[in-house]
Amino acid sequence: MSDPKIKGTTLRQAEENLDKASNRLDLDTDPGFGATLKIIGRTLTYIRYFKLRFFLKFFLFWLGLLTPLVLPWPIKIVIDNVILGLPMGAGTTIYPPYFVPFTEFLVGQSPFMIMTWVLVLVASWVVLFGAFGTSAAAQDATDGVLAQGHDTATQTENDANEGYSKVSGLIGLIEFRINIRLSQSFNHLIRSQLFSRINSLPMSVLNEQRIGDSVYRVMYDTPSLTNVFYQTIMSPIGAILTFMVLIGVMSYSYGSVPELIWLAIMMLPVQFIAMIPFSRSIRRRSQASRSAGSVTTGNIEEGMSNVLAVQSLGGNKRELQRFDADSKESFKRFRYQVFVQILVTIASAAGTALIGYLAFYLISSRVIEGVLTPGDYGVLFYYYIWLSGAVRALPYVWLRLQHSIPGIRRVFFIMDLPSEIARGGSDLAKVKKGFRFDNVSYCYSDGRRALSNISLEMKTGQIVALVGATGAGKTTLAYLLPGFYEPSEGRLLVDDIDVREVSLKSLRREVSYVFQETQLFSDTILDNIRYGKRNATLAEVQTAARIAGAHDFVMALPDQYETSLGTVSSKLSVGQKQRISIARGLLKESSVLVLDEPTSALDPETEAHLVEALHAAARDKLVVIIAHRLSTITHADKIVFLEQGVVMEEGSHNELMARENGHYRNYVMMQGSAKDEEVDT
Amino acid sequence: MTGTKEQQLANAIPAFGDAALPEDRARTADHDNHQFSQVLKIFVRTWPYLKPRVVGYWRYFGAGMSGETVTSEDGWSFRYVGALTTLLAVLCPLFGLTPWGVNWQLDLLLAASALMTVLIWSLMFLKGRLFAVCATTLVVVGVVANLFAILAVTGWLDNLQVGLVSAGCLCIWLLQYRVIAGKLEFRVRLGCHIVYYYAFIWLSTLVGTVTGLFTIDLLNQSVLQAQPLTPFMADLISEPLLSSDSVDALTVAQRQGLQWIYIAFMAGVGLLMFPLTAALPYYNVWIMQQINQDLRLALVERWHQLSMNYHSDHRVGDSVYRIYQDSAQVTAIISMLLSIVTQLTMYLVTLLFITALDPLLGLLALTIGIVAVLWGRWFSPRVRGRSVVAREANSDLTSRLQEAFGAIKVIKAFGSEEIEQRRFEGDSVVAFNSAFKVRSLVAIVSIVMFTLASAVLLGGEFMMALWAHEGRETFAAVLIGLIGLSFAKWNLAAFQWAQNEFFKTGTQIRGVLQQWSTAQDMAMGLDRVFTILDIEPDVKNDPNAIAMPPFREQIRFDDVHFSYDPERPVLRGVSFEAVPGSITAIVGPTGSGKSTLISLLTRIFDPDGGAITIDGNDLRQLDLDGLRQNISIALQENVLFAMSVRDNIRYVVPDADDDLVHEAARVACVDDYIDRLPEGLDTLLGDRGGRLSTGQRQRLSIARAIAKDAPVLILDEPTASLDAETERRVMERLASWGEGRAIFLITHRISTIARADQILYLDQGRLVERGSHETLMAIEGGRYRRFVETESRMSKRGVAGE
Repeated sequence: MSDPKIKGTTLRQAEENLDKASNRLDLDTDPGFGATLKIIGRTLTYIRYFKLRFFLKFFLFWLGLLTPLVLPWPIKIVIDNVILGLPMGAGTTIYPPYFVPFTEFLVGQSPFMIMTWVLVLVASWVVLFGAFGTSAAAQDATDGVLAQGHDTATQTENDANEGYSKVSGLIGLIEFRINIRLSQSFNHLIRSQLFSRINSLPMSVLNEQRIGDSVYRVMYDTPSLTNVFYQTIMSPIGAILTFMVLIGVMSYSYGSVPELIWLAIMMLPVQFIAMIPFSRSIRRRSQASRSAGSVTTGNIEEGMSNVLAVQSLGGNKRELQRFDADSKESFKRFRYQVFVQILVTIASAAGTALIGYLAFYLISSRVIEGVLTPGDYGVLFYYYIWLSGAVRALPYVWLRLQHSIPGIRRVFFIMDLPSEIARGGSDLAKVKKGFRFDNVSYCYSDGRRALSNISLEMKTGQIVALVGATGAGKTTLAYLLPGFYEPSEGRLLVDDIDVREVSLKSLRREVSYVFQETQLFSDTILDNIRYGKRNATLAEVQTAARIAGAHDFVMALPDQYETSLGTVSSKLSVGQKQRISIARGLLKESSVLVLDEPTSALDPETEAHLVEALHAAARDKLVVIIAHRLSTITHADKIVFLEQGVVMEEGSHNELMARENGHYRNYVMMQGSAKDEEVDT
Repeated sequence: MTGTKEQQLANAIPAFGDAALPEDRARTADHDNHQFSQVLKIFVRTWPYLKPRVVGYWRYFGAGMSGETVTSEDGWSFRYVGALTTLLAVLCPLFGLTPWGVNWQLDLLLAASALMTVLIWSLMFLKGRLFAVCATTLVVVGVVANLFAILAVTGWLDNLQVGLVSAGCLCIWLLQYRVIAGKLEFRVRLGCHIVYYYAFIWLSTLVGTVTGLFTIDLLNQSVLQAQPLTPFMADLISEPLLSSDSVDALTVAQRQGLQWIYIAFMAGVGLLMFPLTAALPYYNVWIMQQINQDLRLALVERWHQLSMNYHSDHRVGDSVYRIYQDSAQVTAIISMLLSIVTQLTMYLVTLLFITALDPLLGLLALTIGIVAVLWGRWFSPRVRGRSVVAREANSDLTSRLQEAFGAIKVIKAFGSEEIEQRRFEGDSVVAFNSAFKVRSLVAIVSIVMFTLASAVLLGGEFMMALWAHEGRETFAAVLIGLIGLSFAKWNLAAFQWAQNEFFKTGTQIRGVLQQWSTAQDMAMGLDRVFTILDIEPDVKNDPNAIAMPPFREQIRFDDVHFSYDPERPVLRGVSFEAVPGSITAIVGPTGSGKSTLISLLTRIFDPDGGAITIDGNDLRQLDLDGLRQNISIALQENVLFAMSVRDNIRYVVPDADDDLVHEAARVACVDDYIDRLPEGLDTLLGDRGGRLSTGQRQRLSIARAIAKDAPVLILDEPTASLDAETERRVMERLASWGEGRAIFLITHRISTIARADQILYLDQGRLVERGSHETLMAIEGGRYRRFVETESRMSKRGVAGE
């Protein structure tokens, strides 16, 4: 509904269209096996920042494995020696060495005393590990999981704050706390890095990057990394360890049933065969679910940020329809992902059940043959469940990873985009001479040519006006000055140094840019104006505000300069906001000032005032103005007339006016005559 | 970034402990003002969103009825159910399938059938409270009778008897009829997905429980310990020779045979339940997503109805968080409530079983419940307090992101990336710290409860083990025997079964408590959703609003006053008229109230005093949507959307054809530009129409306003970013397109203003001058004249050169 292109004839096409709608740069969304491994490897390198905590988590995790080693035995004692009343030490079972001291201690005691001592042992286990038996009802695990919804975005909070311990009690609590803090720290690191990278993307990339998509990646894709962090390291190593220990204990006590161990190992190929065919499908569905979520976030964010426009246009229903369709789509994509997961679960469960029946048959046959006691059946079957669970963890990890890989890929994709900060360069002091364009051209990413072969000089002390019809390339040219865009061809020199060799930080410090669209922050007016110069005094702020024509209306506000601006502040008119943004640009101390159509919202008197102030300032500054108003343009020392990305004429107003049939002259006559006619009637 | 920077980030959050939250976020349980009843109320409020999936909808069948078009709601009747149920109730006994007097169990079932029949008859005539009492009794009797038939009575004919009666009773809810004009019509209730889902879930749980109940005996006593089967069990697997009536102990061969029966039994049940196990999780996700979607839509709809007064004080990220995370909590409600109810019921049932084995055990199990209530009273307000803080901190973080990315140009221009980075990291740390607080409390709730319950359970186990050792008599052996178990004395099987059941009480109570602790978080999330839904829009549709008649005569402002806050009036007594076919220019210094005046016309706000009328109808009496459909506007901030150029132009008229789109583009002089685009009208624009220059955006936004084809057109600074040539062309085309429409222009450009039929000069909210260009220019020292003179003096100075 919101975009007919989202519908595709095949699932594949539909998913690709979703990818395209969410981000036009990130289109190669299907990593192969090798790329998947690389993504996993890269995630794991982050462990270096968390060595100690990771080790602690590991250590406690191992401690938790003690439960299956100890707790089956008290139960056996209760059944064999208390309930069935067999004398202690009379059975054929060989207890593991660490348990022997306890059993020897119990030899000869009455069932009542045996039960008491067993109780003491188990009770201390409850306090330490939160378990008093081997059944599910007798064990507790610790997690801080809260309720979540049924799409990818709403399931991320539990991932970002993942904390888990197989056990409970004191050890469980400690492990849980270390774990959740580790997950959070890891997420914080990734989030912060991603945020920093998005902020340092070149403007040309940011033009393609939707705000909602960025929000989605930082908030909802980063938690995918946490999963990999644990799954790839904890689970397999834990599984192998559990496996080894259990086999050790089992063969020590029940050397007679090696088949059981083979059965558990058999679980591995069976599970892999059941699950592997689905891995790519899970990756694709997960990616589509994220793309659909990103589109939803992008559209809802856009509609909400521009609520005034939506309401005035009567677009409420349209926005609701758009959200309805987007949100449905995102739910649907998530459902598809669930569907594949169910298929996998069924395949896996079938395998587990088959081998499980075999295990039952084996153990119960031994009991029937009289080799084992009924008590042994409970212990052995319990061991078997643990064993096969440990083995099953490996293929399951692989599967969980497939689910996370698309999210991680989306994070790394942005992190790998070239950062404009990374280019480095020397520090630029004040701009003393000015800018020189040396045969500069600029092309958009889609290949359209915005500027062609510009050669031009802008000297400090000048006011330079960029003039031309809409779409002539004025803003693009101005964007080159603070390095928002870089020339595709040719060179732009600042004080005879190529701008590419100057650090962006210092370049932008020296170039103030006032944009066409005003963008204020939800701080006070004072903080907004001194955004570029945090330590400015109130007097300085007021001076800048006076020049921009903002002082009078600010003083009329109830809290004056301390008035807080709401996010979508409707309380100021567009013109008023524009003045605050001009004041902000004026206050920033820099040697170059670029004003992109500053005066379209100003009335003539304020404008006259501003132009005078600019003249006074221009002695040691370069001022570049983009304007349509003649009154502003004519004050310029140099006028650059652009048409379709080409400099047609440059010179002072008088020089250009002297050219018969000159482009600029025609432009002026058109405007002047229009006005003269009307005004003089 | 250097390595140390990354290490700093990695260490920004404490490795183990709590961290203090900033003062405005550091709230305790004392700040929580939700009572137990209020939490329940929040859950009850979600009913309208759950209801459609519980009660479903009616589908109509019958002569002349197509789909769901209903002529009237009257006449529907379920009066047939009495007769139907009676018929079904006597069917089996009549054919001798379930004769009276065979055994007391079957007699009990027949009595229950009779009772259900009586109840269903009474439902046809009762009303009000009595109806509710009878209906509830019917449901309870029906459920108990069915369970009894399945669990306690052998054979399947009893199940058929009770099943048929139940089906008859269900029809009262599912199927109704009426006779209209001699034609018989039916309606059937469909789409009760939640009911279907849980019916299936209970079915599969029932199968699982029943299977488990019998197999544990089969496995423990017979396969492992060579004891014969109970007669009932032997009967069930048709091996009467293995019954305790026939033998004292099983042979090895018999036990080996039982092994295979056990496997076949488990595998068979597994296979039988396979379609359910596969489909149910998907079904659940689907249902919950529908519910969530409804709540999301309600939220977004209300959000867009709220006035700018609300929006200017609230952050977009906060709303996104509410729509995503907070509203998602609705999906967990049913499972949470049902889980609590079933766990509590099961707890009570288990309590009974255990008491039957030994009253002391029952008392111990009861203690767990009491401890849980006390513990719950302590932690509930604390979880709520921390949950709210965590939710707020996370919405702040979302807002921070959204605002930073929205202002990214300014951030770059001012080189303030580092400051924004610090702010973001600060918010992120607070969000994590607050999430830690709520989650670690939820974890502790569970750990403490487990420890307390364990103490009680271990005490019980101690006694049970000794009893089993002594072979002591159980308390109510008959009752136990009733459900097919053989626990007259404490033995190994009794111990294992009792231990299992006894431990279950602990699990059940812990389950309830865990649900309840996360329910506190859910309630706080939903509370944030309902906060938005509770805000009454300032500008609302009058319930008696009339559709706006076609605009013919005039728009009239009559002494209109307006202010955002009372101390700063924005408009002070503005009066004027505008007629179709005229252009009205609104002129005045920045902040004089021009845009506000327009906001009042589109009812973004309502005036504080005075009235605005269209053809004599006050705007407040007109249907809001209808009014806005009749007014088209091109805003000063040229907001476009991330859609194709075509969809942008027909944003409010999605059905517009390409001719109309082309015509609108032509009038706005943007057709040439569109033709030059690589994909023409299909070109997708970026966020907020990115990648276009302001002038292009401005013309597209004018085209959008034109495509709406409304009788009133408002252009707010329409040509500020256009060069003189383009401006002239746009204005000329607009003038010829605008014949018969009322056009309002807000502008500083004299060339544009001078085309207007009337000019309104506003200053500080007052309409100081009004008239045509000529009239106003004739006023000596007039405000408008002074404005024009300044403007033209400056540009003339330009043209002439200094």
